Amino acid sequence: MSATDPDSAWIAAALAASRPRVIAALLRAFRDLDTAEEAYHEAVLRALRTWPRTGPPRDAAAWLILVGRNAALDGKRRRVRETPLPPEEALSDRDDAEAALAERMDASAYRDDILRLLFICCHPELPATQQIALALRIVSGLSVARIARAFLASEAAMEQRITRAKGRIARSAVPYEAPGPAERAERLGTVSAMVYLVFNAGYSAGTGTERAALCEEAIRLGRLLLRLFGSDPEVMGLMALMLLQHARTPARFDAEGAIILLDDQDRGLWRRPMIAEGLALVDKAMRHRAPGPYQVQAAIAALHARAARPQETDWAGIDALYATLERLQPSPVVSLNRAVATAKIGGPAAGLARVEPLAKSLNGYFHFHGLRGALLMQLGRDGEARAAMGRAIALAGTAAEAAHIRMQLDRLSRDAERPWKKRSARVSGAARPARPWGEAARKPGDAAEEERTRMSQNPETAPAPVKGGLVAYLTVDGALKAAEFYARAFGAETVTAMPADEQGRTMHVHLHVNGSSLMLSDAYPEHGHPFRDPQGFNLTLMVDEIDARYARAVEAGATAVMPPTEMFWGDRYGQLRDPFGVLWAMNQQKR
Amino acid sequence: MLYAILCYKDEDVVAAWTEAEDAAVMARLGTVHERLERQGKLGPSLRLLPTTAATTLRKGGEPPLVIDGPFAETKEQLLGFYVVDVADLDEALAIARDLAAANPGGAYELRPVLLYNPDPRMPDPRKAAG
Repeated sequence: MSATDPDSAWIAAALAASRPRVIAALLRAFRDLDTAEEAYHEAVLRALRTWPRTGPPRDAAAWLILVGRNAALDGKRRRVRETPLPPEEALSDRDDAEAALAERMDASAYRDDILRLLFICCHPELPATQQIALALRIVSGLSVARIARAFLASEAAMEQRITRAKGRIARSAVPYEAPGPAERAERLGTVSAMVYLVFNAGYSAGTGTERAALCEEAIRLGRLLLRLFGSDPEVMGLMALMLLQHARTPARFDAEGAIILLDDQDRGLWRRPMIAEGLALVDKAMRHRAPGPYQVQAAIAALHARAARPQETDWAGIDALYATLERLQPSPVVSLNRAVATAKIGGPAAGLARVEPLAKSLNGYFHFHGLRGALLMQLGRDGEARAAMGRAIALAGTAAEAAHIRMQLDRLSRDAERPWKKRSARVSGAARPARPWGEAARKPGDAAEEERTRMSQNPETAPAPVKGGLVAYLTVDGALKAAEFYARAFGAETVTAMPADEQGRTMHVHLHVNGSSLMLSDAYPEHGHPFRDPQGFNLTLMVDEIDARYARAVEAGATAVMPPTEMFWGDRYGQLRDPFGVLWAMNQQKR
Repeated sequence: MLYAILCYKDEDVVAAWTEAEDAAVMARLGTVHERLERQGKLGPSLRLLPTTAATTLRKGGEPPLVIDGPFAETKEQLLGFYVVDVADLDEALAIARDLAAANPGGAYELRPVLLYNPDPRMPDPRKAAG
């Protein structure tokens, strides 16, 4: 049966749609996750046998609950004495038992069951990673292998993580009675946070497939919450936030999988139906006049979504929304986000005025120094800007963060050539959507792209094209000299180069060599990046005409290490060392 | 004779479709739509967002009450509709059967149209044809 075969697709969709309700009800019946899961799997097996013959039951969830419960009881009973219950084949569409159960399982019963199930999965004693893994396994029914792939963990490690979480829950007191209104609200908040964690895990996951799987699961869980708590504005906000962010997915990555900044995304690729749904939910939520962090973040995402072009972004609205978010959820990171919007509307000095007071709390945060450096550079305060950028690079926690800052440096060195005035914010009052809550609003949900966007203040400048999905970044002694040498020896072209400081050092040079990007910087010992002799690698150029290319490099000043030779694998191959100590190789493939 | 074909389906099931499954259903329906269009039988048609995006205005009281969500909580929800121009109920049912084959599950409600106001922003195709 193929997934798109109309005769069988309904079974898969009906099973997926009813899973959380069925598991939740079975959990209430058996008060044990493992028993509930086993009973569910038995019910699914029977459904796959029965439904193709009988057609869809009137209420798939009720059918599965009844059959799952009977199967589990049957198993127990069989163990006691061999007297089975009547087979589920006898259950027809109009079976009284199923109908009666469906009547009893009205919306409120489902609601408490599912909320209990979700709440158990995000039990406060469990670390966030276990909460997410458990929810994806139990509620969404993703396979352990799939979850492991999404979190770059081994299947065995993920299995263990889930088993441990279950054990912890079994040992602790889990409330099975229906929660009171206050407790329900509290649980809903915890559950919303877990759903958003799942979404964020997907949003930043490594590969496209896993990204889609986790984001879609989070959206499905969000829909479930929204169906059950249809008038809670924060649940609407959460759902809208996820939809508006996920709508951009087709535009967020280039063919090589590199991230495309919000300002540079092809907005024609954004998924319109998701945006329409997200905007509708933001509108609905605002009517309640009860702003919360998810709503405010969704409202900010909505302002981005409503801008047909980056230049039409309502930065004044976004600034106001961040102000609201600063009130609702005060945090220096939120204030930093606000500074970006402020800079867009009031210029770099106004942005910097918001950034400076955050120095104390964000001194160890690399985005703080990155933004500060960008604003200083626009103000022409080059020396301070360079120092800030150096701090940012030194603080980068991951290679990706460091690379990201360097990409920004690439852009900034271009932006710096343009006076800010020329690209003054074009936000007009025209066609601006009604501002939700008096003055302003919002927080860091959109971290991914906005963090990246915020450093570049000029949407009209195209970024230097980075070639290749894996870029070598060398720390050399004399990056600007190295760039010159690589031009002579290997025909490199300089795409961008940050100007030298007083000591002749540069923080960033971007070259194109032989069809790939190569990036260079000098060492900055005072920022924790001392110079080290390059060793343990070589940079291999895949070339035609190897002998001519090799000769040119040697003539330019490289030292021959191994002249081009036919190798045992059939290619012609040679090595040489450049004056900066970097080992290069050239390889001409056998035809 | 104009008939409205109201499309009811469990929106949780529709939401459980993958993008590819959704596209496959839309493609199968597209084949039916094209044929109806060629035959001049297809009027306006819409697909609605989920009922979670719906708001209901209850007109009983003063002022009318605004409620989040659809008019009625049902197992299957109104997810869209077609207007078709047919000779009789049998022909409308035949169309509904073709749509059902392309998109199984749920139900179609066939309702004869009493008053049809074409979109005033568009030229009326019937006048143009006449």
